[in-house]
Amino acid sequence: MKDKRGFMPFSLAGFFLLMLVLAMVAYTTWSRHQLATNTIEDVTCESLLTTAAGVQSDLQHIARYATYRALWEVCENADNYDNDDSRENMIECLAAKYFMDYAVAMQQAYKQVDARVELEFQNPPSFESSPSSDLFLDQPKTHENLSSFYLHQAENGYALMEVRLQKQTRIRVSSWDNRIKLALPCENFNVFIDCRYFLLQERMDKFIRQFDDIRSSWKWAEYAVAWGEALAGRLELSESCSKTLFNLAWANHELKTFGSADYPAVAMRLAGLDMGALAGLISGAAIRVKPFCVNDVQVMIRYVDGGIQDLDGIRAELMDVNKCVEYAINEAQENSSLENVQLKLGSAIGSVDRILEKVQEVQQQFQQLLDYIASKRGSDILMLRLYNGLTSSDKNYPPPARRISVGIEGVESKLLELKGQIETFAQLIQSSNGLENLGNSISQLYNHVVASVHDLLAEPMPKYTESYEEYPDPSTYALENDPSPTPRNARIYIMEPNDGTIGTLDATLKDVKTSLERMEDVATDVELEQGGLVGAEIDGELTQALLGGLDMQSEQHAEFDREQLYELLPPKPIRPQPGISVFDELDIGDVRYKRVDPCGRLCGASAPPTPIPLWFIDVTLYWAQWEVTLELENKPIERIFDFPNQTIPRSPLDGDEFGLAKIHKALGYRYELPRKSFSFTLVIISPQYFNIDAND
Amino acid sequence: MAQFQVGEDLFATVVIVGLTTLLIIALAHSYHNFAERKNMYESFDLALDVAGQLRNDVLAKYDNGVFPGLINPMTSEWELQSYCQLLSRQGIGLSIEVRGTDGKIFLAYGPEPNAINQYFSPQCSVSLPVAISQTQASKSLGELIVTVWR
Amino acid sequence: MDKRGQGYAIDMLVFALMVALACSILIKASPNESNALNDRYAANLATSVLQTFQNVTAGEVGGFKYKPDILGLLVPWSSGERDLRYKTLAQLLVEDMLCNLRVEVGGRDIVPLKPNQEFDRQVRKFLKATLDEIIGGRFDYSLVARTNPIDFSPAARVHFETSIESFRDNGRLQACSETVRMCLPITQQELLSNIQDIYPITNSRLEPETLVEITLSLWSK
Repeated sequence: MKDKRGFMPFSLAGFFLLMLVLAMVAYTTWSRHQLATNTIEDVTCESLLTTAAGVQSDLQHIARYATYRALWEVCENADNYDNDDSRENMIECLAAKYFMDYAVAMQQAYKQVDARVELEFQNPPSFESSPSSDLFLDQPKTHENLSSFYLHQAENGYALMEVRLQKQTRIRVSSWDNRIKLALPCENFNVFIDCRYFLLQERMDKFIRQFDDIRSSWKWAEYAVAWGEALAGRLELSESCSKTLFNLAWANHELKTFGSADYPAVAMRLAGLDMGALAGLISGAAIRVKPFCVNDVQVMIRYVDGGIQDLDGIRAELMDVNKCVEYAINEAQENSSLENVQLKLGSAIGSVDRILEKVQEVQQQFQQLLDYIASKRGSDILMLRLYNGLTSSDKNYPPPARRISVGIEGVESKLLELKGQIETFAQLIQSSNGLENLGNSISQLYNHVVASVHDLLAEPMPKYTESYEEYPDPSTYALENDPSPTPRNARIYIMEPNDGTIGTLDATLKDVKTSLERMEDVATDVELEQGGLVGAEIDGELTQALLGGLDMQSEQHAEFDREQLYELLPPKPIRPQPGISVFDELDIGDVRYKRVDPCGRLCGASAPPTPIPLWFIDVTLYWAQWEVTLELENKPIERIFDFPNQTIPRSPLDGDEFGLAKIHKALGYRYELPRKSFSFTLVIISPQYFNIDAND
Repeated sequence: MAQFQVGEDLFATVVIVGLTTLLIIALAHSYHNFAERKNMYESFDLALDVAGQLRNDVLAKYDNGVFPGLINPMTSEWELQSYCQLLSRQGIGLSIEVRGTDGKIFLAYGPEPNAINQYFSPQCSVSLPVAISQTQASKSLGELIVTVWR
Repeated sequence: MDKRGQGYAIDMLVFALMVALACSILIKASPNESNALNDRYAANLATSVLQTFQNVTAGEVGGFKYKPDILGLLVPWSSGERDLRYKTLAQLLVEDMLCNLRVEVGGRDIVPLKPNQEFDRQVRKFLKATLDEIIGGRFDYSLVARTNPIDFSPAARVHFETSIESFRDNGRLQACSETVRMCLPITQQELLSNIQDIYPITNSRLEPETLVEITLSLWSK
């Protein structure tokens, strides 16, 4: 029989197949590698562009702050400039100078922090060191070469600063290996300034242009009063009345021009109160010692109760998780359907998600408690102490707020780990398409879930104990007895995230609640005895003891004068449009009335009016005339604030008391008016005789 | 051993050829999957590249310079047209939409999607958050939606 | 004949071995979902978000108002509310740092007198809501803003750090992280003179590192 053989052995065919597979795998691996490499390059380029765009945005950012400073400085003394153009020129110069300072600092900072970034100016300013006391700062020789600032008016009286940097100004960024370099041109940009400088300037100009309206209004008011009195038969010119009318005329002119007036000051002047008392009366910098209000404490207890209730809900959900997983595992062991098992595992995961949400709610409840106390504290020492007690600690253990947040962090991480385990098992079931060969994984999951739930629900064990002495309630013993204190132990359950469990959180919240309940008892007793406590004062020694350790020291509390107070809290404008707050400083000196009619000149201020007989109609007219002059002690100051735009970050006081803290203030346009004297002629001609009372 | 004759047996040959064919089919299927995924990745990569260029350059041009990330809703049609022409020379179709968070459309350019064309060259879309320059004072939040196809 | 049969058997075995090897290589090398594109999109998104932060104004994302608690003052004519609708989101963050810088002496924080904590609280709340809206359900995020610590003397330094997160890190792999830097708008002279009130510093050489780092990190859900 002739042997029939194939033309190719099978092993060769197998070899070709193997080579084919290897080739394909090599190609796909290479392709993935290419994709990853391209992705890295693309991401690097994006990152570089983000950096460059960030620097560009930063230049705009510092231009804005330079303009804020310039605006503030110029507007503080707006009367120092002859006209609007000179004022605007000064703003532009100052802004360019401050921009230069910031840009130089920025350039040097980038050199130190990120060597990839370089700000390239065409003619970099040269520097010379100018030692100043113990500091060495580089001062540029010329700043105007670097940039030009042009102030324009934007919509609604806002300002727009156009910044032109030198030609060829570039932001250069390169990758760490210098393979990729990017140069972003940055020569011109506009910066919107959220202050209505032009509106303030325009309104102040109008106030000054029409300044004589104050004199006119005052004059006509005086005429109305004088004529009315004269026709009634008795005319009395009084300084207080004239001052009041002048104040009202001034306020009226402010209202017409700015849409508002300095109504707190007007009210004070009309009430005859000293202006300097205003800051003292209203300043909350005075320290208060006030017992807790029962309602406040009950609100605080409600927040804590909310957290405790959420923790009870969490306990129930954790038991559900246990049950769901147990059920799923039983189904798996009985080789039940895959869907049932996955359903139960899905329920367990859903329960864990709900627990995570509830845990966040516990955090929120406690934060709401802190926010509530913060909103009530003001200058109330006891609230301050309570807030400090909950949020800061100089002991070896963290304060309650920190313990709660650390504990919640720990609980969340344990819950996420538990969820991860269940999800992994669920994915394992899905990928294996069956429950066979999962015996080990099942038992591992079960053990893990039981251990996790047990750990979370375990009885809390204190991690740290601090002993303290507790004195009995003074109402329980006679005053002459001096009871000895009882030693007690404070238990701290949470020191680090790993200590966080439902039990420890619960114990911590309950400790806080116990303390608040004791405060409630004391507050209730105090409220019942309120009548008996009228007139009682807290002495200085106790005040100092209460203040000890707080960040508010009585000797450091700030004194605000009225203008500074208005800077911080400008009065709400009377008319919402244009929305300008007004401050004025008017020290009215005296008001002089000089009789100039013949009888007055001859016989004095109280002389009767000069009669003018009109024989041809048998009528006598009575004529009196005065030169009324009102003098101000100092030049009046008018300052208007951009009330809706309190956006410039500045120190609360332009002095020392506030350290690093800043607050947003409104731009204030301050003008010292040159005119101190206002006068007019008062002429009364009446057909009836009238008496004149005047102080000589 | 006499009965054991491999190679001549038709059954054995069929089995071997069948196995080989199966393996080749598996290989082809695998490669097809890979190619499809690679195409999808490349389309998405392209969409991201185009979106990046639009966000950082084409749509971010103003009279006084380029401001990456700040969309100019008044970008001239000529700019968009020349960019689209540049892409179409490389066989890439483009559709752009810039819309605000309230659904208002600030800018739309490109052909409407066509069901038939989509079948032959599936589209890939990508959306990125952007800032839209409305007035000098306010810049609103919006979304840049870029659709590309080959 | 026997030898031929053996040869054929070996041939078959070798063929089967090769096929098995080829199958195992194919299975092992089956392409997993590449994270590269996910990471690329995440990087692009992070870049977009940071650029958006530097441009979008607060008024266009719901408005931003706060009442400073720094003063402890109450006046009948004003609520003291500040409306910062024209500030960009990045500006709000930088001003939060400016208003709440902390001084650390000997490793211990000296709480500055009357910080603007209400502003800090409102900024964090506002930015979290905005980030939830922008990034939404696509990724989990963490935004960290910090100053480079400014050392005024061996013992005293000024710093600030705040973070806004959508979740707590549970060990998942980070998709991407992007950083931008901005200047703290305070001159060194002003910073020094303000610190002098809290902690006396003499013979200090200032390091000009008044930069703020804003880092956005994204994690796949």
